[in-house]
Amino acid sequence: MVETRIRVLVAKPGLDGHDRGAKVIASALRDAGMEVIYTGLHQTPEDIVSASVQEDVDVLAVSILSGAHMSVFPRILELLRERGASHVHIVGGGIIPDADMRQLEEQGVSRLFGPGSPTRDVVAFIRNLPLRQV
Amino acid sequence: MSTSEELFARAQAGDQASIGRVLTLVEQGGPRRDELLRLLSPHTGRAHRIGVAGPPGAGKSTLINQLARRFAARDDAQVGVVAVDPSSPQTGGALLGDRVRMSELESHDRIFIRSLSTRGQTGGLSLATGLVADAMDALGFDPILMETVGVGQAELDVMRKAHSVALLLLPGTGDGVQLMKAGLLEVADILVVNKADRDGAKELGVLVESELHSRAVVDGGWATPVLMTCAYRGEGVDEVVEVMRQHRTWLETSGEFEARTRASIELQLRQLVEHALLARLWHDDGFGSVLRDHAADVAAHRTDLAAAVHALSDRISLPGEGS
Repeated sequence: MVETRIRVLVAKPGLDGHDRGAKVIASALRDAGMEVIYTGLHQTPEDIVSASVQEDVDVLAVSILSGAHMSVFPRILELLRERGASHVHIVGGGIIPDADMRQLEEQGVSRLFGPGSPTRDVVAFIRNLPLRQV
Repeated sequence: MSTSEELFARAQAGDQASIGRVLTLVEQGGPRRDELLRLLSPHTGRAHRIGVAGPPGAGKSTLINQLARRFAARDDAQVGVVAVDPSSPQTGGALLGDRVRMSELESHDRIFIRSLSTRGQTGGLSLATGLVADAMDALGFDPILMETVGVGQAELDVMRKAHSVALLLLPGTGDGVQLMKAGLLEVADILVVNKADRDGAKELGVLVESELHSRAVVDGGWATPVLMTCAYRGEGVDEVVEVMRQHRTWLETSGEFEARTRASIELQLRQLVEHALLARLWHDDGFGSVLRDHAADVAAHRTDLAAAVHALSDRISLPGEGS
Protein backbone atom coordinates (compact mmCIF):
# COMPACT_ATOMS: atom_id res chain seq x y z
CA MET A 1 0.00 0.00 0.00
CA VAL A 2 1.47 3.34 -1.03
CA GLU A 3 0.56 6.35 1.04
CA THR A 4 1.44 9.56 -0.71
CA ARG A 5 0.88 12.99 0.64
CA ILE A 6 1.90 16.29 -0.85
CA ARG A 7 4.95 17.52 1.06
CA VAL A 8 5.52 21.25 1.13
CA LEU A 9 8.39 23.22 2.63
CA VAL A 10 7.34 26.68 3.76
CA ALA A 11 10.32 29.03 3.89
CA LYS A 12 10.84 32.63 4.87
CA PRO A 13 14.08 33.98 3.44
CA GLY A 14 15.63 37.33 4.13
CA LEU A 15 16.11 39.69 6.99
CA ASP A 16 12.59 40.90 7.70
CA GLY A 17 10.90 39.20 10.63
CA HIS A 18 7.36 39.10 9.28
CA ASP A 19 6.41 35.44 9.18
CA ARG A 20 2.67 35.80 9.73
CA GLY A 21 1.92 35.17 6.07
CA ALA A 22 4.17 32.12 6.06
CA LYS A 23 2.45 30.73 9.16
CA VAL A 24 -1.03 31.35 7.77
CA ILE A 25 -0.16 29.52 4.57
CA ALA A 26 1.52 26.69 6.50
CA SER A 27 -1.63 26.17 8.58
CA ALA A 28 -3.91 26.30 5.52
CA LEU A 29 -1.85 23.67 3.70
CA ARG A 30 -1.80 21.46 6.80
CA ASP A 31 -5.58 21.75 7.11
CA ALA A 32 -5.82 20.73 3.45
CA GLY A 33 -4.15 17.43 4.39
CA MET A 34 -0.60 18.22 3.29
CA GLU A 35 2.62 17.59 5.20
CA VAL A 36 4.12 20.97 5.81
CA ILE A 37 7.70 21.48 6.92
CA TYR A 38 8.16 24.90 8.44
CA THR A 39 11.72 26.17 8.68
CA GLY A 40 11.44 29.51 10.44
CA LEU A 41 12.88 32.94 9.77
CA HIS A 42 16.03 34.29 8.14
CA GLN A 43 16.80 31.41 5.81
CA THR A 44 19.32 31.77 2.99
CA PRO A 45 18.53 30.28 -0.43
CA GLU A 46 21.23 27.66 0.33
CA ASP A 47 19.48 26.69 3.61
CA ILE A 48 16.09 26.51 1.90
CA VAL A 49 17.28 24.35 -0.97
CA SER A 50 19.26 22.07 1.32
CA ALA A 51 16.19 21.52 3.52
CA SER A 52 13.96 20.96 0.45
CA VAL A 53 16.34 18.30 -0.85
CA GLN A 54 16.67 16.52 2.50
CA GLU A 55 12.91 16.57 3.05
CA ASP A 56 12.29 15.48 -0.57
CA VAL A 57 9.39 17.91 -0.90
CA ASP A 58 7.09 18.26 -3.89
CA VAL A 59 6.55 21.97 -3.41
CA LEU A 60 8.58 24.83 -2.00
CA ALA A 61 6.45 27.75 -0.80
CA VAL A 62 8.44 30.93 -0.27
CA SER A 63 7.11 34.00 1.52
CA ILE A 64 9.10 37.11 0.77
CA LEU A 65 8.38 40.67 1.82
CA SER A 66 11.85 42.15 1.85
CA GLY A 67 11.96 43.18 -1.80
CA ALA A 68 14.78 40.74 -2.52
CA HIS A 69 12.59 38.49 -4.68
CA MET A 70 14.49 39.20 -7.91
CA SER A 71 17.65 37.74 -6.39
CA VAL A 72 16.17 35.10 -4.05
CA PHE A 73 13.94 33.21 -6.52
CA PRO A 74 16.51 32.92 -9.35
CA ARG A 75 19.12 31.75 -6.82
CA ILE A 76 16.74 29.09 -5.45
CA LEU A 77 15.96 27.89 -9.00
CA GLU A 78 19.67 27.68 -9.80
CA LEU A 79 20.50 25.78 -6.60
CA LEU A 80 17.63 23.32 -7.10
CA ARG A 81 18.95 22.56 -10.58
CA GLU A 82 22.49 22.09 -9.25
CA ARG A 83 21.28 19.72 -6.53
CA GLY A 84 19.27 17.57 -8.93
CA ALA A 85 15.95 18.75 -7.52
CA SER A 86 14.48 20.78 -10.38
CA HIS A 87 11.28 18.73 -10.08
CA VAL A 88 10.39 20.79 -6.97
CA HIS A 89 7.62 23.26 -7.80
CA ILE A 90 8.13 26.74 -6.41
CA VAL A 91 5.26 28.93 -5.33
CA GLY A 92 5.70 32.29 -3.71
CA GLY A 93 3.84 35.02 -1.94
CA GLY A 94 4.54 38.56 -0.91
CA ILE A 95 4.69 42.07 -2.19
CA ILE A 96 5.97 41.58 -5.73
CA PRO A 97 5.26 43.94 -8.65
CA ASP A 98 3.35 42.40 -11.59
CA ALA A 99 6.23 42.84 -14.04
CA ASP A 100 8.58 41.00 -11.64
CA MET A 101 5.99 38.26 -11.16
CA ARG A 102 5.78 37.64 -14.90
CA GLN A 103 9.54 37.59 -15.23
CA LEU A 104 10.00 35.12 -12.37
CA GLU A 105 7.25 32.85 -13.67
CA GLU A 106 9.00 32.81 -17.04
CA GLN A 107 12.21 31.78 -15.28
CA GLY A 108 10.52 28.76 -13.72
CA VAL A 109 8.62 29.82 -10.59
CA SER A 110 5.29 27.99 -10.84
CA ARG A 111 3.10 30.74 -9.43
CA LEU A 112 3.36 33.90 -7.34
CA PHE A 113 0.51 35.13 -5.17
CA GLY A 114 0.10 38.78 -4.24
CA PRO A 115 -1.09 40.19 -0.91
CA GLY A 116 -4.68 39.30 -0.05
CA SER A 117 -4.73 36.12 -2.17
CA PRO A 118 -7.21 33.72 -0.56
CA THR A 119 -5.41 30.72 0.95
CA ARG A 120 -7.89 28.41 -0.81
CA ASP A 121 -6.46 29.59 -4.15
CA VAL A 122 -2.99 28.59 -3.03
CA VAL A 123 -4.26 25.22 -1.79
CA ALA A 124 -6.13 24.58 -5.06
CA PHE A 125 -3.12 25.58 -7.15
CA ILE A 126 -0.80 23.21 -5.25
CA ARG A 127 -3.32 20.37 -5.40
CA ASN A 128 -3.44 20.67 -9.19
CA LEU A 129 0.31 20.63 -9.71
CA PRO A 130 1.57 17.60 -11.62
CA LEU A 131 3.53 15.57 -9.08
CA ARG A 132 6.39 13.22 -9.77
CA GLN A 133 5.61 9.58 -10.32
CA VAL A 134 6.92 7.21 -7.66
CA MET B 1 12.21 7.65 -13.19
CA SER B 2 15.24 5.54 -12.30
CA THR B 3 15.35 1.96 -11.07
CA SER B 4 15.69 1.29 -7.35
CA GLU B 5 19.22 -0.03 -7.98
CA GLU B 6 20.32 3.21 -9.69
CA LEU B 7 18.67 5.34 -7.05
CA PHE B 8 20.26 3.38 -4.20
CA ALA B 9 23.70 3.56 -5.85
CA ARG B 10 23.46 7.34 -6.16
CA ALA B 11 22.29 7.62 -2.54
CA GLN B 12 25.24 5.46 -1.41
CA ALA B 13 27.54 7.79 -3.33
CA GLY B 14 26.20 10.62 -1.16
CA ASP B 15 23.84 12.41 -3.56
CA GLN B 16 21.50 14.30 -1.21
CA ALA B 17 18.48 14.36 -3.51
CA SER B 18 18.74 10.57 -3.98
CA ILE B 19 19.08 10.01 -0.22
CA GLY B 20 15.97 12.15 0.27
CA ARG B 21 14.11 10.10 -2.34
CA VAL B 22 15.13 6.75 -0.82
CA LEU B 23 13.83 7.88 2.59
CA THR B 24 10.50 8.92 1.03
CA LEU B 25 10.01 5.66 -0.86
CA VAL B 26 10.90 3.56 2.18
CA GLU B 27 8.42 5.53 4.27
CA GLN B 28 5.61 5.42 1.69
CA GLY B 29 5.35 1.68 1.26
CA GLY B 30 4.45 -0.29 -1.84
CA PRO B 31 6.66 -2.19 -4.30
CA ARG B 32 9.40 0.47 -4.33
CA ARG B 33 9.76 0.09 -0.57
CA ASP B 34 10.12 -3.66 -0.94
CA GLU B 35 12.85 -3.28 -3.57
CA LEU B 36 14.73 -0.74 -1.48
CA LEU B 37 14.48 -2.77 1.72
CA ARG B 38 16.08 -5.68 -0.15
CA LEU B 39 18.94 -3.41 -1.33
CA LEU B 40 19.38 -1.73 2.08
CA SER B 41 19.29 -4.84 4.18
CA PRO B 42 22.92 -6.03 3.81
CA HIS B 43 24.20 -2.62 4.92
CA THR B 44 22.13 -2.16 8.09
CA GLY B 45 22.95 -2.90 11.72
CA ARG B 46 25.98 -0.65 12.11
CA ALA B 47 24.68 2.73 13.27
CA HIS B 48 24.15 3.76 16.88
CA ARG B 49 20.49 4.78 17.14
CA ILE B 50 19.82 7.33 19.84
CA GLY B 51 16.27 8.21 20.84
CA VAL B 52 15.47 11.57 22.38
CA ALA B 53 12.10 11.69 24.12
CA GLY B 54 10.32 14.03 26.46
CA PRO B 55 7.27 16.24 26.82
CA PRO B 56 6.53 19.10 24.41
CA GLY B 57 8.66 22.13 25.18
CA ALA B 58 11.36 20.16 26.98
CA GLY B 59 13.95 21.26 24.43
CA LYS B 60 14.42 18.09 22.39
CA SER B 61 14.99 19.79 19.03
CA THR B 62 17.33 22.29 20.63
CA LEU B 63 19.35 19.51 22.27
CA ILE B 64 19.47 17.51 19.04
CA ASN B 65 20.71 20.61 17.23
CA GLN B 66 23.61 20.76 19.70
CA LEU B 67 24.27 17.00 19.74
CA ALA B 68 24.27 16.63 15.95
CA ARG B 69 26.88 19.35 15.50
CA ARG B 70 29.14 17.79 18.11
CA PHE B 71 28.86 14.27 16.70
CA ALA B 72 29.53 15.58 13.19
CA ALA B 73 32.53 17.63 14.34
CA ARG B 74 34.28 15.16 16.60
CA ASP B 75 34.16 12.01 14.52
CA ASP B 76 33.96 13.35 11.01
CA ALA B 77 30.75 11.34 11.04
CA GLN B 78 27.62 11.60 8.90
CA VAL B 79 24.80 12.27 11.35
CA GLY B 80 21.18 11.39 10.62
CA VAL B 81 18.26 13.07 12.39
CA VAL B 82 14.68 11.76 12.26
CA ALA B 83 12.21 14.23 13.77
CA VAL B 84 8.64 13.08 14.25
CA ASP B 85 5.50 15.15 14.76
CA PRO B 86 1.92 13.97 14.92
CA SER B 87 -0.44 14.51 12.02
CA SER B 88 -4.09 15.49 12.34
CA PRO B 89 -6.34 12.43 12.52
CA GLN B 90 -9.02 14.48 10.73
CA THR B 91 -7.19 15.71 7.64
CA GLY B 92 -3.97 13.70 7.73
CA GLY B 93 -2.14 17.00 7.36
CA ALA B 94 0.79 17.88 9.56
CA LEU B 95 2.90 20.87 10.47
CA LEU B 96 6.46 19.69 11.03
CA GLY B 97 8.37 22.40 12.82
CA ASP B 98 11.44 20.74 14.28
CA ARG B 99 13.75 22.28 11.69
CA VAL B 100 13.08 25.72 13.19
CA ARG B 101 15.18 24.78 16.23
CA MET B 102 17.74 23.04 14.06
CA SER B 103 18.29 25.88 11.59
CA GLU B 104 22.00 26.00 12.46
CA LEU B 105 22.27 22.57 10.87
CA GLU B 106 20.95 23.64 7.48
CA SER B 107 23.58 23.45 4.80
CA HIS B 108 25.77 21.36 7.10
CA ASP B 109 26.98 18.80 4.59
CA ARG B 110 27.36 15.98 7.11
CA ILE B 111 24.02 16.27 8.88
CA PHE B 112 20.85 14.99 7.22
CA ILE B 113 17.48 15.81 8.79
CA ARG B 114 14.19 14.18 7.83
CA SER B 115 10.84 15.25 9.32
CA LEU B 116 8.10 12.64 9.56
CA SER B 117 4.44 12.69 10.45
CA THR B 118 2.36 9.86 11.85
CA ARG B 119 -0.08 9.72 8.92
CA GLY B 120 -2.73 8.40 11.25
CA GLN B 121 -1.57 4.78 11.17
CA THR B 122 -1.62 2.57 14.22
CA GLY B 123 2.02 2.12 15.12
CA GLY B 124 2.77 4.29 12.10
CA LEU B 125 5.01 6.65 13.98
CA SER B 126 7.29 3.93 15.16
CA LEU B 127 7.21 1.97 11.90
CA ALA B 128 8.09 4.94 9.71
CA THR B 129 10.82 6.10 12.09
CA GLY B 130 12.33 2.63 12.16
CA LEU B 131 12.29 2.29 8.37
CA VAL B 132 13.82 5.72 7.80
CA ALA B 133 16.47 4.99 10.43
CA ASP B 134 17.22 1.66 8.70
CA ALA B 135 17.74 3.48 5.40
CA MET B 136 19.99 6.09 7.02
CA ASP B 137 21.97 3.31 8.69
CA ALA B 138 22.47 1.54 5.35
CA LEU B 139 23.57 4.79 3.74
CA GLY B 140 26.34 5.28 6.30
CA PHE B 141 24.81 7.70 8.80
CA ASP B 142 26.05 7.07 12.33
CA PRO B 143 24.84 8.05 14.84
CA ILE B 144 21.15 8.46 14.05
CA LEU B 145 19.21 10.74 16.39
CA MET B 146 15.49 10.00 16.61
CA GLU B 147 13.23 12.59 18.17
CA THR B 148 9.64 12.21 19.19
CA VAL B 149 7.15 14.55 20.79
CA GLY B 150 5.25 13.36 23.81
CA VAL B 151 5.42 10.51 26.24
CA GLY B 152 2.62 8.13 25.28
CA GLN B 153 2.53 4.56 23.97
CA ALA B 154 3.31 5.56 20.37
CA GLU B 155 6.42 7.42 21.51
CA LEU B 156 7.45 4.50 23.69
CA ASP B 157 7.36 2.31 20.57
CA VAL B 158 9.57 4.78 18.72
CA MET B 159 12.08 4.58 21.55
CA ARG B 160 12.09 0.79 21.28
CA LYS B 161 13.74 1.28 17.88
CA ALA B 162 16.71 2.98 19.58
CA HIS B 163 19.83 1.50 21.16
CA SER B 164 20.12 4.37 23.63
CA VAL B 165 17.30 6.51 24.95
CA ALA B 166 17.79 9.97 26.40
CA LEU B 167 14.77 11.25 28.28
CA LEU B 168 14.44 15.01 28.75
CA LEU B 169 12.72 16.44 31.78
CA LEU B 170 11.54 19.98 32.28
CA PRO B 171 11.80 21.62 35.72
CA GLY B 172 8.81 23.15 37.44
CA THR B 173 6.09 21.25 35.60
CA GLY B 174 5.66 18.16 37.73
CA ASP B 175 7.13 16.19 34.84
CA GLY B 176 9.31 14.04 37.02
CA VAL B 177 6.31 12.45 38.65
CA GLN B 178 4.28 12.26 35.44
CA LEU B 179 7.05 10.45 33.63
CA MET B 180 7.48 7.93 36.40
CA LYS B 181 3.87 6.98 35.81
CA ALA B 182 4.17 6.92 32.05
CA GLY B 183 6.67 4.09 31.76
CA LEU B 184 9.25 6.06 29.81
CA LEU B 185 11.60 6.18 32.77
CA GLU B 186 12.03 2.43 32.47
CA VAL B 187 13.31 2.64 28.91
CA ALA B 188 15.56 5.65 29.54
CA ASP B 189 19.32 5.08 29.54
CA ILE B 190 20.20 8.70 30.13
CA LEU B 191 18.13 11.32 31.95
CA VAL B 192 18.59 14.95 31.08
CA VAL B 193 17.13 17.75 33.16
CA ASN B 194 17.06 20.51 30.54
CA LYS B 195 16.57 24.24 31.17
CA ALA B 196 18.61 23.64 34.30
CA ASP B 197 18.78 27.39 34.96
CA ARG B 198 15.10 27.32 35.90
CA ASP B 199 13.66 27.12 39.38
CA GLY B 200 13.10 23.59 40.50
CA ALA B 201 15.81 22.03 38.32
CA LYS B 202 17.94 20.87 41.23
CA GLU B 203 14.90 19.48 43.04
CA LEU B 204 13.81 17.59 39.93
CA GLY B 205 17.32 16.15 39.56
CA VAL B 206 17.28 14.95 43.17
CA LEU B 207 13.80 13.47 42.79
CA VAL B 208 14.77 11.54 39.70
CA GLU B 209 18.08 10.39 41.23
CA SER B 210 16.25 8.96 44.21
CA GLU B 211 13.76 7.21 41.95
CA LEU B 212 16.63 5.67 40.00
CA HIS B 213 18.50 4.57 43.15
CA SER B 214 15.58 2.41 44.11
CA ARG B 215 16.33 0.33 41.01
CA ALA B 216 18.88 -2.42 41.45
CA VAL B 217 21.78 -2.24 38.99
CA VAL B 218 23.33 -5.65 38.46
CA ASP B 219 27.09 -6.08 38.11
CA GLY B 220 28.23 -4.87 34.73
CA GLY B 221 24.85 -3.23 34.21
CA TRP B 222 24.23 0.32 33.14
CA ALA B 223 23.52 2.81 35.90
CA THR B 224 21.28 5.50 34.36
CA PRO B 225 22.94 8.88 34.91
CA VAL B 226 21.11 12.16 35.48
CA LEU B 227 22.62 15.12 33.62
CA MET B 228 21.80 18.82 33.77
CA THR B 229 21.79 20.93 30.60
CA CYS B 230 20.90 24.34 29.24
CA ALA B 231 20.64 23.15 25.68
CA TYR B 232 19.99 26.52 24.06
CA ARG B 233 23.23 27.85 25.53
CA GLY B 234 25.04 24.60 24.83
CA GLU B 235 25.79 24.04 28.52
CA GLY B 236 26.19 20.45 29.64
CA VAL B 237 25.86 19.12 26.09
CA ASP B 238 29.46 17.85 25.87
CA GLU B 239 28.71 15.68 28.90
CA VAL B 240 25.60 14.25 27.19
CA VAL B 241 27.67 13.38 24.11
CA GLU B 242 30.30 11.74 26.33
CA VAL B 243 27.69 9.65 28.17
CA MET B 244 26.12 8.60 24.87
CA ARG B 245 29.53 7.34 23.72
CA GLN B 246 30.01 5.51 27.00
CA HIS B 247 26.61 3.93 26.60
CA ARG B 248 27.50 2.76 23.10
CA THR B 249 30.69 1.17 24.44
CA TRP B 250 28.69 -0.51 27.20
CA LEU B 251 26.13 -1.77 24.65
CA GLU B 252 28.87 -3.25 22.48
CA THR B 253 30.80 -4.93 25.27
CA SER B 254 27.75 -6.30 27.09
CA GLY B 255 26.11 -7.79 24.00
CA GLU B 256 23.17 -5.41 24.45
CA PHE B 257 23.81 -3.75 21.09
CA GLU B 258 22.92 -6.93 19.21
CA ALA B 259 20.11 -7.76 21.62
CA ARG B 260 18.49 -4.34 21.17
CA THR B 261 18.98 -4.47 17.41
CA ARG B 262 17.17 -7.83 17.31
CA ALA B 263 14.37 -6.56 19.56
CA SER B 264 13.94 -3.55 17.30
CA ILE B 265 13.77 -5.73 14.18
CA GLU B 266 11.23 -7.97 15.88
CA LEU B 267 9.02 -4.98 16.69
CA GLN B 268 9.50 -3.64 13.17
CA LEU B 269 8.43 -6.96 11.69
CA ARG B 270 5.44 -7.19 14.00
CA GLN B 271 4.29 -3.72 12.96
CA LEU B 272 4.76 -4.47 9.25
CA VAL B 273 2.73 -7.66 9.56
CA GLU B 274 -0.04 -5.89 11.47
CA HIS B 275 -0.02 -3.12 8.93
CA ALA B 276 -0.23 -5.54 6.00
CA LEU B 277 -3.05 -7.55 7.59
CA LEU B 278 -5.07 -4.48 8.53
CA ALA B 279 -4.61 -3.01 5.06
CA ARG B 280 -5.99 -6.22 3.54
CA LEU B 281 -8.89 -6.23 5.98
CA TRP B 282 -9.98 -2.62 5.48
CA HIS B 283 -9.48 -2.73 1.73
CA ASP B 284 -12.09 -5.46 1.56
CA ASP B 285 -15.29 -3.44 1.18
CA GLY B 286 -17.34 -6.49 2.10
CA PHE B 287 -15.85 -6.55 5.57
CA GLY B 288 -16.47 -2.83 6.10
CA SER B 289 -20.14 -3.12 5.19
CA VAL B 290 -20.67 -6.19 7.36
CA LEU B 291 -19.05 -4.29 10.23
CA ARG B 292 -21.43 -1.37 9.67
CA ASP B 293 -24.39 -3.78 9.69
CA HIS B 294 -23.23 -5.26 12.98
CA ALA B 295 -22.77 -1.77 14.44
CA ALA B 296 -26.37 -0.92 13.47
CA ASP B 297 -27.54 -4.16 15.10
CA VAL B 298 -25.69 -3.31 18.33
CA ALA B 299 -27.19 0.19 18.34
CA ALA B 300 -30.70 -1.30 17.89
CA HIS B 301 -30.02 -3.87 20.65
CA ARG B 302 -30.50 -6.76 18.22
CA THR B 303 -27.08 -8.03 19.22
CA ASP B 304 -24.28 -7.03 21.58
CA LEU B 305 -20.62 -6.02 21.15
CA ALA B 306 -19.22 -9.39 22.22
CA ALA B 307 -21.44 -11.37 19.85
CA ALA B 308 -20.69 -8.94 17.00
CA VAL B 309 -16.92 -9.28 17.54
CA HIS B 310 -17.17 -13.07 17.42
CA ALA B 311 -19.24 -12.94 14.25
CA LEU B 312 -16.80 -10.54 12.58
CA SER B 313 -13.66 -12.38 13.74
CA ASP B 314 -15.02 -15.61 12.32
CA ARG B 315 -15.08 -13.99 8.88
CA ILE B 316 -11.30 -13.38 8.98
CA SER B 317 -9.24 -16.32 7.90
CA LEU B 318 -5.52 -16.12 8.53
CA PRO B 319 -3.13 -18.11 6.34
CA GLY B 320 -2.81 -21.66 7.63
CA GLU B 321 -6.30 -21.80 9.06
CA GLY B 322 -7.76 -23.32 5.96
CA SER B 323 -11.22 -22.04 5.05
